[in-house]
Parts: sequence; C-alpha cells; structure tokens
Amino acid sequence: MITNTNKTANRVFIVLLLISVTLISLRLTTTVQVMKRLAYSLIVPNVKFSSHLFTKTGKGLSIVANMIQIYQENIELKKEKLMLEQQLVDYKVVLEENTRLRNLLDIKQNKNFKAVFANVIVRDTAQWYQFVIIDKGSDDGIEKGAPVFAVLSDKQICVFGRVLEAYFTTSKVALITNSFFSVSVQLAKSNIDCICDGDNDKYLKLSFIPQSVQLQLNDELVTSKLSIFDRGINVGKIISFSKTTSGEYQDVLVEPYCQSESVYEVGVLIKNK
Amino acid sequence: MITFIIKIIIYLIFIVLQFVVPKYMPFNIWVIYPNFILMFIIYTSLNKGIIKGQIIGFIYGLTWDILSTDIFGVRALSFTIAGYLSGCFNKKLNKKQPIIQIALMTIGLVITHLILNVMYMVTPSTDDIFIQDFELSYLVFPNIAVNLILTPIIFKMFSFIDERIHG
Repeated sequence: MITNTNKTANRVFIVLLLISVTLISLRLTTTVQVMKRLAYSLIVPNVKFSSHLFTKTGKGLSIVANMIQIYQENIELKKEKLMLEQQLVDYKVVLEENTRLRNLLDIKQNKNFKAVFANVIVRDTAQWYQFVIIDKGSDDGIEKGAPVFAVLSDKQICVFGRVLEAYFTTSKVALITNSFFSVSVQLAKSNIDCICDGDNDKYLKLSFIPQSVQLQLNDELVTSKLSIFDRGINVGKIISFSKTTSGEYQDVLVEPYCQSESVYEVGVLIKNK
Repeated sequence: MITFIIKIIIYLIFIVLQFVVPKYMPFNIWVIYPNFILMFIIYTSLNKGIIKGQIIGFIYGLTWDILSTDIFGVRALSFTIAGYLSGCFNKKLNKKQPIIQIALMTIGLVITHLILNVMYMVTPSTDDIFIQDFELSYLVFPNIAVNLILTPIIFKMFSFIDERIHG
C-alpha cells in the first residue's frame, strides 16, 4: 500500500517536474505566453477583488477604530469636563463661602459684638419672607428675641431678623420681613426716628414718618439708638413713598438689604456675660 | 463541493496573504515578510502526504509565476520539489516538533533559492531586475532567518485552523 502510494507520488512528481521544466523551457513561446495570460486573467480578478476587499475592510476597520477611539476620547473628555465643571462649582462655592466667612470674621474683629455665627439650615419656600432656622441654639448662648444680622458681599452688615424660638442646637429666626418683626430705625441722613415693620412680603412698611419730612427714593435706613441692634446697622432703602391727604404720616415702602442676596450665614448678637 | 469551495477560499487567502497584505505594512518588509505559501506547502506535505504537498506546491508555484515577472515555471518547479521532499518525511518524523518544521522549512527555502539562483545563472536575462538582484543578494539570508524563526509559530496557527476546519 505504501509502495503504491510512493509510486503514485513519484509519478505525479515526475509529471509535475516535466510540466515545470517544459514551462521554463518554452516560457517565451506564444503558446505558453497565451496560457500564462489566460491563467493570469483568471487569477488576477480574484486577487484584485481580494485586494479591493482587503483595502475596503482595512479602511472600514480603520474608520471603525478611529470612531471607537474618538468615542472613547469623547467619553474621557466628557468625564473630564464634568469633573472640571464640578470642581469649578465647588471652587465658586468655596470662594463665596470664604468671602462670607472673611466678612463675618472682619465684623467679629472690627465691631465690639458678642456674636455667635450660624448657618441657615432651613428656609421654607412657602414662608420665604417669614422665617429661617439656624444651626445654633441655646447651647451657644442664643436666647429668644436676640437680634440677628447678615453680612452682605460688600462687607456691610444688615438687619436680618430676630430669634423667635431658641432650642438647644437650633433657633428659629423671624425675618425682618415677617409681620411679627419691627425695629426702630432712622433715616441715615436726617436722624428722624421711625418704626420699620415686616409685612410677610418682600418689602417693609415704614411707620411714623411725618408728612413734613422730605423723602427721596433710595434714602437709606439704619437702626436707631432705640433698637435692640447697635445703632447704624443697615436696614434697607426707600423704594416708594406717598403723602396722604389726611393724617400726619406718609406711606413708605422699604426694600430690606438682606433680601437683595442669598444669605447662608448669619450672626446672632448675644448678651456679653 | 463544500470542500472544493473551502480549498478555493484557502487558496485565495494565501494569495492575498502573500501578495496583497505586504503592501499595507507600515514599512518595507521585503526582508522580514514570511513566505506563507512555502510554509503552507511544507505543512501540507508533512500532514496530508506527499501527493497533496507537491500538487499544492505546483499550483502555488505556478500562481506565483503567473503573478510575478520571474522566470515562468521556476517557482512551480522549486515549490514542487520542496513539497515532494517534505512529503517524503510524512509519517517518518514527528511533525509537531518545531525543530523538524524548521529543518524542513530550511530545506524548502534553500531549494527554492538555489533553483532560482541556478535559473538566473543559466538564463540571466529576466524581466524583473529587482527580483534577480534580490535573489542573488545578501538579503536572502536575513529573509531565510526570519522565515525559520516564524515557522513554528505559523505552523501552530495552521494546525489550529486545520483542526477547526477538518476536526
């Protein structure tokens, strides 16, 4: 069996060798040239097609690879963008907080206050102009009725409200705009005393301004010597006034400073024991 | 019929691998690009027998001759001889031994280059001067070395694919 196979193999080998040698010998003859061209025309289209396919596949793969790469880069960049945006937000928050705290620190150093500083932890949107809750209470020396002030971005302090209820670790503060709130104020330029009342609204009402007093828009109001606050603390500015036909006093609306911007930290004045 | 189609596909794959793929390589790889066709011929001779080996050698050699501007028939001759000699060792040697594979590949490469060089010397006027220069140049040796280094790896790949196709 093995011998037969070998014989066949040898015969095949001899035939193939003969064909090869014949082709080499007669390679320049027309017959071989024609055969070569014929075989070439049979093989080349397949090679061409394969090459074309390979090129297209290669290009396609390259495009897909590029797309994947771009997609991955896009994801990475988006992540980075989100991270940077978050960092920017954090940075702004820290900067604002820093500014506010620095302002509070300046006040603590500059003014002769015995003040406790607290963060606003609750502000009910349904009662926006009425109260907030702060994170300091009677354990920190805060008592009911204690005056509360806020610090504006320009380092000015302004009246914020009064402690309505003091608990151990928190306090409820009635805002300056709360109808329960009233404070003795005076016009900064004329020292005329009057009373400023909250109205559960954005604005305050100014009472007891005589008809004879010449008011102007944006006239500033500060706390008077009679108030529980120190004298000269900013309250707000006049935004409208009207003289009534009857009666002694004018109707005046005041916009409180503490409503002009968000307040996150406040100071509570406590008795200096 | 399916076997025939598979054989045609394999044939085309090797043609593409040998003649189309190199042009997409990022650098000039004439020297280091392996001779897949010769490897396949030797692999077939070793594993499928002497007759298949030499027929495949002849067909691939002829194809190479048709596609190249070499002396027509010279590769058909050299690959047939390579296929025949490798096939002689079918069932006689441990074909999975890398050293056997490398040895047979060495024989195949030496025969191919030898026949080519002899043919160039006998008939020096060929159409392709570059091929002639290449075959006679010192670059033959690095090319042989690269082929020999890659032989066991590529044989392993052939074996893997062969098992997948034929079970």
